[in-house]
Amino acid sequence: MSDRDQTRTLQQRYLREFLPAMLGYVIVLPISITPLLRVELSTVGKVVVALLPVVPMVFVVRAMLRHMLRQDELQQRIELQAVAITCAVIGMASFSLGFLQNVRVLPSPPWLMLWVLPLTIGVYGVVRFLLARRYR
Amino acid sequence: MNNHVRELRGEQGWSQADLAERLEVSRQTVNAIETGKYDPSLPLAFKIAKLFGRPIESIFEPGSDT
Repeated sequence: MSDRDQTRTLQQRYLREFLPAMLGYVIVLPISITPLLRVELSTVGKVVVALLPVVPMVFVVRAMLRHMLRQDELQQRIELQAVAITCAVIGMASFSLGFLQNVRVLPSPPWLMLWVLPLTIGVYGVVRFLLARRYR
Repeated sequence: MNNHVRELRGEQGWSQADLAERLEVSRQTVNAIETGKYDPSLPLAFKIAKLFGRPIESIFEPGSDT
C-alpha cells in the first residue's frame, strides 16, 4: 500500500466513524430541543431529553481520539501540541469570562456553556492546521 | 540533530513516499526528518538505520545545539 493510499485509508476510517456520529447529532438535536420547549416533562424526563445530543457527540469525540491514536509519531506530536494550546486558550478565555461575569460586565446566558465544545473543536482545528504547516 | 536520510534515500532511488511506506509513517514525517524540522524517536531512528543497513550514528549526528 502506498503512502498516499495509507493516508487515504486512515482518512476513510476516520470519516466512517465520524460522519454517522455527526449525522446522529444533527438528527437528535432538534428531537431534544423541541419537546423541551413545547412539552411539560418531569425533571428526569427533562434531563434525559436534554442530554440526548451528548450521546452522538461521545461517538464524535471517540472517532477523533481513535484517529489521533492511529497516526504516526510526528502527527501525534502535532496533535498533542494542538490539544495543549487549545486547552490553554479555552481555559484562559473561560477563566477571564468567569471573572467578567462575576462583576456583571458580561451577561451569563444559560446557553453559553453549549458553545464550549464547538469552540474547543474550532480552536483545535485552527491551531492544528497552523502547527502542521511548521513541519511541511 | 543532523542526518543523512535524504542522501541515503537518494542512493536507493526511493521517493519520500516510498521511504514513508517502508517506515510505516506519513510522507510529511519523512520530509520533516530530512529537513531537520523533526528529530525521530529512538525506535524510529533504529528502524531507519536497519532499513539502510547502517549503524545509527552514521546516519544521525549531534547538531550544534546538542
